[in-house]
Amino acid sequence: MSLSLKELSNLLGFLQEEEIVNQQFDSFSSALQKSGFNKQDHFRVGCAVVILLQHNDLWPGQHQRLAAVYLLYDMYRSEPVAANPFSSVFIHLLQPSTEEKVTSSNLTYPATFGKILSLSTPEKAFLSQLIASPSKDLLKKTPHMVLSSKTSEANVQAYDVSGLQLSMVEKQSQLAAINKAGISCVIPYPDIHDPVGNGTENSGKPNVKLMESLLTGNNAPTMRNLRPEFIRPAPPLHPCTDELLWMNPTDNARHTFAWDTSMAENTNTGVEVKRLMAKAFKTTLTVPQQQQLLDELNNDQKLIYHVGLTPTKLPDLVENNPLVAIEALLMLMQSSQITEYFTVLVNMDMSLHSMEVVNRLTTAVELPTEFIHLYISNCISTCETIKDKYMQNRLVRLVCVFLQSLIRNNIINVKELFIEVQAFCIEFSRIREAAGLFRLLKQLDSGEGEASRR
Amino acid sequence: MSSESANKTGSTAFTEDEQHVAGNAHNFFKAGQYDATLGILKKLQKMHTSDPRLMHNRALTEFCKTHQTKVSDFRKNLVKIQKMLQQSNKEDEDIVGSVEKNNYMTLHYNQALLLYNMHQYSDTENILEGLYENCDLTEDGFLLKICLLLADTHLLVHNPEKAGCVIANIEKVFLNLEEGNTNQKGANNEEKAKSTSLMSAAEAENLRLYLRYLKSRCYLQQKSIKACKREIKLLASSSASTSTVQRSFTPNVASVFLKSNFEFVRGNYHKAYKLLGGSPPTTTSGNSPNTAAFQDSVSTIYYNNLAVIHFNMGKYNLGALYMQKALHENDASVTAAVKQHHQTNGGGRHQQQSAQKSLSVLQTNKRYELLYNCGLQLLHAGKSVPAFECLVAVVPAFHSNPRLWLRLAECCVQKCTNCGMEEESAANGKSHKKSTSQSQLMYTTIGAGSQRKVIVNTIPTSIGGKTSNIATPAPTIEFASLCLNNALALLHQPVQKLETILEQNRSNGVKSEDQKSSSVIVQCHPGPPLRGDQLLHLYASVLTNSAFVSLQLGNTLLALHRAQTLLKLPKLSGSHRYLGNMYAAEALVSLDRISEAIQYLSIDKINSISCSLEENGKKSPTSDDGSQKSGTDNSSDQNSHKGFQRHRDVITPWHYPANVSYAHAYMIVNLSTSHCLRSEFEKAQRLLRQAASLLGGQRFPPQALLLAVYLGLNGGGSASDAIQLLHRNTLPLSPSQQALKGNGGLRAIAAVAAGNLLPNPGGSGGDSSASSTSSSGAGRSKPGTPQPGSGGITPERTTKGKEGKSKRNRR
Repeated sequence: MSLSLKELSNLLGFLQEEEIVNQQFDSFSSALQKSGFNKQDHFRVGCAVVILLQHNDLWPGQHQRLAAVYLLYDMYRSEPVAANPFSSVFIHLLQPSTEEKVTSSNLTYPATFGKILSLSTPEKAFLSQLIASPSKDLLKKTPHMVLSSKTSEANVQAYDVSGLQLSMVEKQSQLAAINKAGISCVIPYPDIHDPVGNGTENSGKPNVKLMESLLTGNNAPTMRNLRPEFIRPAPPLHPCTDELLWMNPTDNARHTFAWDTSMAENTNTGVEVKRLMAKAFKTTLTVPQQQQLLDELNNDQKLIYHVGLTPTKLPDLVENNPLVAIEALLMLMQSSQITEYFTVLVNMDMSLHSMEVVNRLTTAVELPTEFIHLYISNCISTCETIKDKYMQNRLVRLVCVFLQSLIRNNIINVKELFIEVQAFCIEFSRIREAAGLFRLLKQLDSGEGEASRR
Repeated sequence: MSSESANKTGSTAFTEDEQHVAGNAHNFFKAGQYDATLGILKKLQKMHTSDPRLMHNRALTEFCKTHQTKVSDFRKNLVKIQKMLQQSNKEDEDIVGSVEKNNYMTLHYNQALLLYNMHQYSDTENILEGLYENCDLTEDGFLLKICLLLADTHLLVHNPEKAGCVIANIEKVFLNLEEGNTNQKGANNEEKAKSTSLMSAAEAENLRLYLRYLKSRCYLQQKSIKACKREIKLLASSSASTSTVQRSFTPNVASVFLKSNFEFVRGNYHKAYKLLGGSPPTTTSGNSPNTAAFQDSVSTIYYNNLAVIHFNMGKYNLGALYMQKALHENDASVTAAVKQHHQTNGGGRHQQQSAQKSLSVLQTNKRYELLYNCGLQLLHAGKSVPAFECLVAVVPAFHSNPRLWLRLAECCVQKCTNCGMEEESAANGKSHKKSTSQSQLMYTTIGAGSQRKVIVNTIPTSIGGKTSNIATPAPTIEFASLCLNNALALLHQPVQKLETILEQNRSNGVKSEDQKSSSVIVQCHPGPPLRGDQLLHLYASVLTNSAFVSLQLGNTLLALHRAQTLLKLPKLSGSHRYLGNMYAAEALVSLDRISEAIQYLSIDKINSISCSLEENGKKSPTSDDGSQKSGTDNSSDQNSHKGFQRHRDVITPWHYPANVSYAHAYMIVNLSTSHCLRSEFEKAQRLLRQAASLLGGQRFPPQALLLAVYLGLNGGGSASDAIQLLHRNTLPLSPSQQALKGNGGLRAIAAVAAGNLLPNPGGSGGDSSASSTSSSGAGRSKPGTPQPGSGGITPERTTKGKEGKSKRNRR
């Protein structure tokens, strides 16, 4: 955005006091072009010119100043004045001189620094005419002619800047406040103890070096602006609790690859059994399927441990294939986990199938008595709590038949369950089987009594 | 046996002869005669072309024959077999799937082990869990293998709860632990007999030892100190007694690390350091080959742990040094292993194969984990660029770790915020031939005589790099935004889930941490997973960083969105709340919504700027007037930040406030800025003065001074006031200083400049400095007159004087 060293010297050469004094205004644009500035450079040139205008100590010649102001106008002549990016400079210059202390807004240059020296009356008149209605005659003039012309204050028809001001305010109202807030960060600071700069540099001539440091370079001071900035603290690092990895040695030699020992072992039967078993958990098997499964299981006593029949799967098997379940349980009697299977069986929902399984089990093997007792009380409580009358009757009948067969086969000792079963029979005395069971109980009781009396 | 079903897998039944031959093959394999094994297998395969087990064993033998170097071939083969099995079972897959899996357990186990060795632990975990759930635990040596591998994997992915379950199960089934035994059935006696026949006493003892080791690691991860202490004690005592056991798993080394880890978890870093000792431990029984392989990585682990300890003691640079050592050891061990491989292979036949690394080398190579640790150390040590390089190298391995992405972004942010200043000071050094301390002054003077100018050094607004391609990893702010987006993408869903759970809890009146909220887990390999509050905390950090980065990039709308999301989180640390408000306000000002912004800038909401969630409830005293008082009160706050703060230069425009009153001051400065932008200059002045009194005589952010200068220039003050402020490099404090304005003129400035060079006899605060300047203004204006061309004052001496003063103030 800033000028290069060469461009600056070109610009300064173009605007030299001696050169510019007698140049006609309408020849400016072509001269500017000759100095190597094209349309796209105009904004940068304008910025530099404004800086130079603000620091009038850098710019001793009066003609130069006038030429510079004209240049600002000239570069954007083809567009309306309101569109000129430097129109605020014109507004500032044309403001009535009584309004010396301009403090109203951010837009104008602060009164205390960076102020452009106010124009003399002829200059003002020239500028007013220029903006209001530029005539050919006007452009034929030279800076010298303008400055030497004698126009009194009263004769000047002050150009009314309010219209221009309005359009500018309108334009700027679209900008955010923070974007309008910038001010120049170059502050004049004259050294009052040594006003001439100690003779090291000729203060009479424009201090080219100073201008270079002001206007050129990547980060030229004139291109920066001072505006209120937010403090934006960078977020601190995220706290690092146990994010770093502590390492403990691992014994990797422990993990070795394994040889598949079941190779060539004709384990396909096992596969088939497993497939059938997996199916048996989900659906009822056909008779041949059932037969095949049971045959395979009977062939290899160890197979039952490897077909995936875990205690949690048992209820599924009982519901879908009670016959398989019975055989499987009989095979599992030796397993260490048999108690777990029993616990599952006792606690599963009472149904015809589960009762059938238990019944068959009782006849085939000797079951732990506490298991049977638990099962019976479970059955009774299920009968008592069930809501559906029809189902209740069905279940009660089932339980009664089940109990009768248990008693007849001497699998349970009635004495231990006498009160519980009796209460059950009385509660459901409307059902024929319950009454039968009750009679059986009484009979046993009296029989026992007789036996003990003897 | 039914052979009609056998056709299903494409193979015919095996004759008895063949079965016998197969047994021989196994024996040859066990003896390590892989050529003989391969011969038998090839013969068998002629009859049974597509028998999956045969194929599996052949692949395994071929793999072993190449000394486990052709990893990718083995992997491909296993996948091929698995695919073949899947295809043959396309029908009724849902029923049979799990059964089939167990049927080919060996295949799946080997696959899992391969993945384990390639550090793909979550995949390993998945496969093994499938096997583990579907098998009924029996005392099978093979099942034991599965369980042990699963336990190890669980520990490596920081899943101690599950590991604990597996270990307990192993103990129950394979060791019949005495404790659980007494109340169980008598059937156990039978089992005991069985198990002893399965395992020799020595093996059982070895296993018991290993389980103990696993268990203590488990407890360490769960941070259950008591259980861990007991377990380590047992381990130490039993390892001493069983040192004779052959193929023992070097318990001495392991227990040293465990003990040190234990003290580390308890926070006794010095004790942990002492336990590790001065040099990497060496194994006492170096006779077995296993321990030799094991020892290779020990020094790596040793240096890594040493580094971790130093990190937690806040010695980041030392930690980074040890980390480098660990990396070096790791590389050395890998090259040594490769070399050893060369030697054992010897012959020219294997020459080209040995270029590939063997599997054991892959497993022991901890490069990525070490690099991650190293990156964290360097980041905390303030070495952003090397840290960034370390962490970027880790990305391919742990790309699903949101923490990693955050750390990468932090590297970028740290680099950019620090380097902005570095660059500027370097530029100043060139153009003005002044030392770096110049950058602390906010102005430069050029020209001489009546043309002298003061140039205010503004803060470079955009610190983003000019890189054209954001996707190339470089520590730029653009790349940071990319990283943060990745982290957000990884965290978004789990955080939403967690938030809804927390919301439900609140409406249900559940107060304490419950199971549900901790069920949302984000895996962060190689570190422990995130859950609950930690997850929210990380999310908040990511959002904060994202808001900051968006502001830096000028993406104000996104910044506002991030900050607002951040502020809506159910739990926030003080730091996040503070930064969220600051960022939201700045974004709103940039969007020209100043009145909304002002609502965010109220210091009443900020009572802590601590980074941790725990101290959120603790209220720090907020005092608006006495800075000394709040300074002492917030000392604990300050301490908690020390670790994270130390590397950040206090004078950088982006530095984080040191305590609450500073934080308040910053916020007030921002509030003042907002009012200033609305042209409410008087209010801005007043607020600025309030901020200055909060800051005391301490260092202040450059923005505050620039604001004061701006107010001087634009807000009705005079240019000389502004220059005065710049010269003094202090904020306008008390009315007594404003009296100086009366002197006006530039003579006073020179006097002030001289006054700063004088020793300051007073205590602290702005009052004393004001008095000293006024006294010097009366008497010493002549000698202090700056020489022409020197730019008014000599900055070096001035800053020295200032430093001296601030030191005194601290006392």
